[in-house]
Amino acid sequence: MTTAHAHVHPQITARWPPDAQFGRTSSAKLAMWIFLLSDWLSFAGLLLAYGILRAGSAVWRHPGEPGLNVPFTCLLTLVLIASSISVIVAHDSAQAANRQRTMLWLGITALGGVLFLTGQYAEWFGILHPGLTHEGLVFGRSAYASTFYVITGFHGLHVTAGVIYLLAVLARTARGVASAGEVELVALFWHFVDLIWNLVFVLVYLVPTGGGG
Amino acid sequence: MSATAGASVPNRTREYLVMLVVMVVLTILEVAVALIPGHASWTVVLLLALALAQAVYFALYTMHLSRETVALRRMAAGPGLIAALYGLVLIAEAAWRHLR
Repeated sequence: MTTAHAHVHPQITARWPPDAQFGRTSSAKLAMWIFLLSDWLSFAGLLLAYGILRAGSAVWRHPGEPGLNVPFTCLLTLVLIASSISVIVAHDSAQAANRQRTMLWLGITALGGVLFLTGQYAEWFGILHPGLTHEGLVFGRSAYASTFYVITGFHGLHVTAGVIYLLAVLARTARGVASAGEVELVALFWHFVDLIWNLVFVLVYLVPTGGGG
Repeated sequence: MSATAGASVPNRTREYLVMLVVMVVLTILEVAVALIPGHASWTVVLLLALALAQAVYFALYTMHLSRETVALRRMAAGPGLIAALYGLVLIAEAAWRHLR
């Protein structure tokens, strides 16, 4: 090995021939997919439990319990959808080796996540108006309340983790040490968080409205 | 940036705008279906179909599964199908108990 080769970045030297099944997919990307699939099963378990409880209840929302704010949550959903597009642009910028643009779009995506979390906080605890906790939706008092807080809370934790992950990749990009592959991994995680939210939005917010509460 | 950075990347603005529009339209459709007065069971079925369509679109296009190998696509579809099958079994069991 020459001296020049000895200083080559390990990510560049680790080029394996394409795998028969997975082509040039990196092991990190495969690992992320496996993690996302196992995480999906956690959400699937929660959503199935919700469906069973919801279908088996003669009265889902008890008198005195507030309904959910569909228009407001629809806005939060649109924010997450927009952030999913912005993270794709960040990935494209990383592939084009445009560090400034990558940082900008990663920052915009993280901002979308922070906006979503602020909206969820406002919905639970209230900022300008009283939140659900003050309006009588109390954890443990009914299946409606408990499933709502567990499912949206578990998803909120994922959004929080996603924002931290985005900011960590942004910091690494700013230092010039992040690869386009790293941006792709955080983008995959963020898309997953968004995909799950769309299911949560339909099942938790819209089905009760359509079913008459 | 390092590693794979520097490759010429085609301008995909139009593709991303289409993605955004499809996702927004599907979300608005879901809200519209939920607000339409009518038979609750059909509303639920329609909502679930729309949610499923949105999830599949999301996985294929925003998560780029459509550009991945068949093996990876199958690997990703597996747990989704297992969850769906489990859901169907539970719904069938609930319906059977209800009819008994």
